[in-house]
Amino acid sequence: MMVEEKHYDDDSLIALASASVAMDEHLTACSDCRERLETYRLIAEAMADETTWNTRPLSDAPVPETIANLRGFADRMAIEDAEAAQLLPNLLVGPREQWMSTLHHHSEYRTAGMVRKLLEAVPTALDIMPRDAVELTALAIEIADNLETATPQLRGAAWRERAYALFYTGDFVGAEKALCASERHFTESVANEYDLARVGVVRALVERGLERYTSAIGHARESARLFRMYEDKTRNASARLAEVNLLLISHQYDRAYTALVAFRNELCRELDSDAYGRVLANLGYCCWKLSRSDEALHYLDAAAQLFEELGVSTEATRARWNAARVLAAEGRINDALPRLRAVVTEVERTGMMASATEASLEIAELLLATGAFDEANEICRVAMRRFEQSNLAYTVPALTALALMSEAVRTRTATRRMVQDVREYLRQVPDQPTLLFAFRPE
Amino acid sequence: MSLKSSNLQRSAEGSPDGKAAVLEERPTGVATAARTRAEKKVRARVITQTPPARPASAADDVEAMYIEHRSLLLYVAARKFRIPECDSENLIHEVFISFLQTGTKINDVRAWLVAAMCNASRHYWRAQGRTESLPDDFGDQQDPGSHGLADKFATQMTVHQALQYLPQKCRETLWLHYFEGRSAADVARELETTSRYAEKLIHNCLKRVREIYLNITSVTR
Repeated sequence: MMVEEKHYDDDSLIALASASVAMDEHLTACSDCRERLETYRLIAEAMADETTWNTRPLSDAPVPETIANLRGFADRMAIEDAEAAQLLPNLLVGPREQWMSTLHHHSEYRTAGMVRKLLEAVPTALDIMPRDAVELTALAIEIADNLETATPQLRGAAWRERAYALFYTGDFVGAEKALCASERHFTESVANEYDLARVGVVRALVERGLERYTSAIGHARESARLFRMYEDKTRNASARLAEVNLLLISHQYDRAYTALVAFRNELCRELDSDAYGRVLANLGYCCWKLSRSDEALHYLDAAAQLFEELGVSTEATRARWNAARVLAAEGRINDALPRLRAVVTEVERTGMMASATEASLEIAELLLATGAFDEANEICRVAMRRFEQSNLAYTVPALTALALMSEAVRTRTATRRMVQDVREYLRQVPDQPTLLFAFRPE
Repeated sequence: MSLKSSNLQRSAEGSPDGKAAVLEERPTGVATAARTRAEKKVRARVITQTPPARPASAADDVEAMYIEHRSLLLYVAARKFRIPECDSENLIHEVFISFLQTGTKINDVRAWLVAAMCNASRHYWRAQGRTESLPDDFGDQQDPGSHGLADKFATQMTVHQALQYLPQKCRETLWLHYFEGRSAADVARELETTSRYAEKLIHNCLKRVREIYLNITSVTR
């Protein structure tokens, strides 16, 4: 029964708590009634569990021995870390080929703290010099595996980091062996799920590289499940998006769509805004591949707007770029062109010159379809200038491809397919600077 | 090469999309989120108003964390997984040792510890299973849900505590209705009274539990 001010009384809420009824208008609007109902439900649920009724007393007092042990462990870690921070620069003197030899000649480097400091240095090294990162993990493993006092977690972490460093440098087979070693060590620990979930994400990445998509999807999914259990929202989101990425790579667009919609429904736009934006962007891409262009545009525009609000301009640009591609694929050239031009301006502003060239060539491709050869030729010239100024290892082959295209545009014999060939070549040549360019035969 | 950065946030598996995990440590415990938020605000204010104190050592941090979460972790192991108390204490120790070595920021410490405690408890029974028979309901204990474990166990623990303050008759009534799933009419038969009175009793007892529950969790209404 409702009482004055139309609030529910407790007896009504208790009755509602035991029935699985949907929220009515009042409960949706009234946080007080909703909270009271929720508390009654929680209490009723707890009382349905046998554990709640267990009368065996439990000791309330913290155990001094446990405290002493934990304090001792934490102190030891802190001291080892501080000492290792001092010693690390000495170990890493000279070229990386010397580091292992230095380690072999100095037993004072063989501490758990040094392993942790080496592992901490890996992410930065991966950005600067990936081979250094691989060597850092080799040092960490050499110490951890031969250190009597090393815990399974320390050894497992060293091998996991090695797996990632090897994956990063393209050694997928070596990475896979490292993952097995990491799992073996973590399995020795009694509380290992979380660490194994982190290994699982690296395994998914490695197996993606080996094109074992089904297995990789399984690992990403299992890791996501475990991260959810540990309420690690960030890693859960990363693992779920990794799964989606694998589904997209393996052209399983329907499954990817289902997974993304389920994920979106669990997220709160305000609280999980970054993950929400990524889900929207992926939904847009997925809908595009499913030929649902209107939906794709809706999601991509929403993602771009959200990323803009969050200040993540690179992701906002990426979403807008994909939206322009959807329009171009639909043949809506007049809608696509201004969007692509805005993308070029934005990526130029952020200094992403390779992306600026790629987007410009997409504009050139559309311009050819409308017969705007002069503007297309200007785009070729700007792109060539960018390569000349950047003086990259692949500048010469890139210039060759662009010059051939420019010539074809100038003589008005260029086709959209030719531009596509140049774009594809420019995508591949950074990894293969000796790759030669030729237009595909018509 | 520069090795000055020791950013632990970007670890191997956290980088597929190149995003560093920006995670927030927050105080945890049996108390509700509302209370925790309020406490955090107070703490933040205190910190800004007092001169900088000596930074707490890692040992102080882990001791504080142990004291804060021990009751809940012990409840999970000893009550939920029925592990003997002395073994439960050892598992708590192992869980904290694992926690100290994660090498990454944990955004919800309580949730992490509770999930790790479940993991350690299952590991315990698997190891015991090799040498002695397992509890009858070991199967039920394999995977106690997959989400919100910490909140669920914290609620159970608080309700357990609240029930201790009730008169015997009230506890019996709630047991019959909510644990055994008996209807008000059944409860009335058991208590040799009328259905109407049994229903009233169930409601009143539940209201009383809620009051005590709210007092324990100190939620201001």
